[in-house]
Amino acid sequence: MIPRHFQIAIMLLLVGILISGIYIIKITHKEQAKTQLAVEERPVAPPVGGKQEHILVLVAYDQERALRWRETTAFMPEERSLRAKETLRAVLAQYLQNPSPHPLGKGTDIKDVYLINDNTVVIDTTPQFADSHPSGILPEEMTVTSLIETLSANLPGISRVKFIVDGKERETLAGHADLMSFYEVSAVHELAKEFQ
Amino acid sequence: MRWSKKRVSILTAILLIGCLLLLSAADSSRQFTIYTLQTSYSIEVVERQGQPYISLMELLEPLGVDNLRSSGNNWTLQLDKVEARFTEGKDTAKIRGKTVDLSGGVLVENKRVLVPLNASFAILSSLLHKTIDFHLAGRRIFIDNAGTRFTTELKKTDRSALVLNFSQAVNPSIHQEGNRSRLVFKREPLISDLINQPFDDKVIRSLSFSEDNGVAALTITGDAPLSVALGSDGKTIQVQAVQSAAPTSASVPAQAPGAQPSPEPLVTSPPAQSTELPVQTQGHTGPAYFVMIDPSHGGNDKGAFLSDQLDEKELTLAVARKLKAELQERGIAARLLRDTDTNLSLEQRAELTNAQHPGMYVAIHAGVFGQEVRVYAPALTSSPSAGERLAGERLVAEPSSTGSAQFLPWELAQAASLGRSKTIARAVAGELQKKDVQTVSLTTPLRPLNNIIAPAIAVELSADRPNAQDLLNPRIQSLVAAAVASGLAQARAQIEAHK
Repeated sequence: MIPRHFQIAIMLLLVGILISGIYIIKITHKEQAKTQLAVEERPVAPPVGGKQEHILVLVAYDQERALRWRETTAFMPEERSLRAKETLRAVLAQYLQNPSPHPLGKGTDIKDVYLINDNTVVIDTTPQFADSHPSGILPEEMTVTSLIETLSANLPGISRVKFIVDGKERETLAGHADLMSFYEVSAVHELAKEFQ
Repeated sequence: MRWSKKRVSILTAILLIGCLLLLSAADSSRQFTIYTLQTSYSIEVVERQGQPYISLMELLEPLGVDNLRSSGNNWTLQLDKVEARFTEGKDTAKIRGKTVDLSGGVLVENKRVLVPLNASFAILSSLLHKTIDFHLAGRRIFIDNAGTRFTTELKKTDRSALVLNFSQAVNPSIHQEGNRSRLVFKREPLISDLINQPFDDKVIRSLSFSEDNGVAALTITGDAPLSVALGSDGKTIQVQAVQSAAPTSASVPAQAPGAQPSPEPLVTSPPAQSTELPVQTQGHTGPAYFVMIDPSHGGNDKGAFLSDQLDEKELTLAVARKLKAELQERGIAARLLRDTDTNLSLEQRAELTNAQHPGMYVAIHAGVFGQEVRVYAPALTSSPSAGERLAGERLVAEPSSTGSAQFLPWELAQAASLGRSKTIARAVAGELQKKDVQTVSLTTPLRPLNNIIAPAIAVELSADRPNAQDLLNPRIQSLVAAAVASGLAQARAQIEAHK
């Protein structure tokens, strides 16, 4: 016969395990919801056709002052400008998650991508891309370089890239990186090497 | 009421003190001087919204604008059929149909339209379409190449004499302060690339040029009291030691042409037995070497957020001032693109720098991530196509040694200096490392480096955000400024040797 005080101790232990389990599940759900929220706060974009593909994105890591290639999956349409847009959004998705290796402001997104003569790309971003971008030579240069390099890796034949913000030209991203000029992709390759 | 002698004396004393206070207040008023080929005039500078402002009509009336029409918040003026429209509160104006950045909002006080002093360059260049040379620190602006230059000649005789030859007649006021003579030019558009010229002479030690509060000044320092004599044509000034004791601190009016205050008659040619030293010439032969230091951001543009108490714009100005002092200690002249918390667009920074033809341009920045100093050389990441070059609106003139100029696309103004910029970046990084400062060398498409004609670099002090306050430490700032100055001096020597 198990002594009564021993039975009570086991019962209390089981109740404790049950309560702890419920608490852990609740916390996990909360964190997942937070991460989901960060991604979902991007403006709603029309659904994209195409099939899911593995693509390479060049991701900026602020603390290490480095750019590293990472593989991710994205729905990639056939049409080149839509493909360019989804490629760029795949990079931004890396920065908008929580925690982020290179935090960008809420609402940062790609509005449109225009392809000129098949080799020149004009990227139109949301205002938040520039307005809430952290100011500094390094963070701005890393953003520009990671986007152009990713685009170039996934859309062969691109030689020049320009950024506009909400349909208009802007002097700099956040006070430092040049947004007036067309970036030569070959020159950006050299910039990227400094961070690898 | 009876007026005793005592009361009258007290009242007189009070009146005298009041007059003196008024005079001193008048003297300390801030002014801005505009020089044209025909005239020169000074206007009052007032402080509004944390930056200097001037009256628009005071600036433009002497140039031919006689009517400023208002319609609601809009103010319109015309000069030679060119229309300019200013709107109260707006920081841009429409001149010749184009938008001009004013670096601050237009203010209206008692029907007096005020514009930021820094906007005078943009307003005048857009309105007049003439060459404008803006000396921001000295608050002087020169229209259509107005300017009086001078050459110096040191003559060694029994009594050494420094002869200053001016391109136009001048009439400065002369102030004697011990062994120094200070010539103040209030109306003459005196310009010089000289900052300080030492002389290898026992009596006359140095000549320095300075400009401040809308006036220019030449200061001659000697080992004995000096006498100053103005030549009869007003184009020559001779400075030499006086033989007898002279008053040690006095302000004397400018001597009229023909007046001879010196014990000997003024001579503009060497006496028969004189020994002439190598002539030190300042003039049109080419600008003297100086470094343009650009404390990045300023005014409404705070730059990177470093901490709750620290914005990038404050730190850049502090470091830039230290760098200027360090360079001057090494005998290299330096100028600050801004010395106050003022708005300057990136275009204005490039335009002001290119107009002054510095030997080097150094942009000072501050940022986060890593306890280090980052030295950036420009990266030319754009190359306009041939079609764009032909159609491009924006070109910048690069003067050549032959006196002619070639035009470069604005985005590629740096192209010809890129190699020298890299040499400077390497030298600066090397000097920082010698002082055990963690240093990283990078290239960057940072604005406005690529719009600068001269060799250009950027130096960025960096700290992790929790330690950002460390950047305020004067010891750290001085250490970095000293290393950067040494690097610049070394790079200058390398570049000169290469030439």
